[in-house]
Amino acid sequence: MAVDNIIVIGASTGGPRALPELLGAMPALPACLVLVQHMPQYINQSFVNTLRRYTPMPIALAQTNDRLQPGTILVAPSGVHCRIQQNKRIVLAEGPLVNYVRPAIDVTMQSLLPPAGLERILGVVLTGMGCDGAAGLSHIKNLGGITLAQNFATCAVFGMPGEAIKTGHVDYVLPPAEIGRKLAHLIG
Amino acid sequence: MKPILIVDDDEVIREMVMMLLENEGWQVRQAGSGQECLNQLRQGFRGLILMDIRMPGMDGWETVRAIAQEGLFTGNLIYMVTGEAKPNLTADGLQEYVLDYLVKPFHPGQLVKSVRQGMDLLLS
Repeated sequence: MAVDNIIVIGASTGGPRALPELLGAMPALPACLVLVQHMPQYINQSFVNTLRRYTPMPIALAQTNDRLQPGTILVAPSGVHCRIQQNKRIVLAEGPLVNYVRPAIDVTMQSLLPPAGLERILGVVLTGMGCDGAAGLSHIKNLGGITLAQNFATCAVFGMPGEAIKTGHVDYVLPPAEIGRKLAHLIG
Repeated sequence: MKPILIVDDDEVIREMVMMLLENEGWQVRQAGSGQECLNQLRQGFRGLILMDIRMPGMDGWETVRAIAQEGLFTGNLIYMVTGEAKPNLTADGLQEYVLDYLVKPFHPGQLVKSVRQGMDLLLS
């Protein structure tokens, strides 16, 4: 099945509060969402189970060779980087920490290639400490994609969105629920 | 049910938060310092930790680093607590373990909601 659209969403501290708001405001979309949340490995599955309550889209932990299917959500597991090969397939791999973390949002976003045909690529950076995701959003913008970041007022920690916004490559700065609605407007 | 550990040097805040969370049916413990928190983890505490940042002696971040160095993270989730509305934080590898950031004074409803989300992640 052809992949129509890809949305990579990155979050860190505060993400478990922001993501339910974002997903809860969003209907099922003809896109594959790849979520990268910094978290300890022992809550990976419970994190997926928790988010499942907020979205009509099937959601699962990503595994190597998973194909990006429109209308589904894949969550990057802890301890490995999560790359998207040829914009079609998940590849999980060990490697050095990037931005002090693994998986790094930047690694996932920077693995994306220019979209083919009418495919669209979108990137979102939510609340979190540090700067992970800023380079990734710039990469997506340079691919011709659309970029969004969580606004200051609703962030637990504005570090990551703030660094992303400083690059000048963020198209929309919004609260989580409005990000969800904006994604639906852009993709739906 | 996993317990909650309130780490704060201010006894009044510990008691208030403890009463609020116990009224919701959770098991709650207290630690008056980072060192006390570490001791409880060494003795086997596993649950949700509400960690005040500003404490005399070992502050909240130093305590989190000590928890990491001693390999006591597994089975715990940590929410940092601060009086600053918008903390300016630098990342140094702790973001994997610090799931959220709560601001004092607590809004009771918001605190309960955040704790419930943390407990869901520990239990589901």
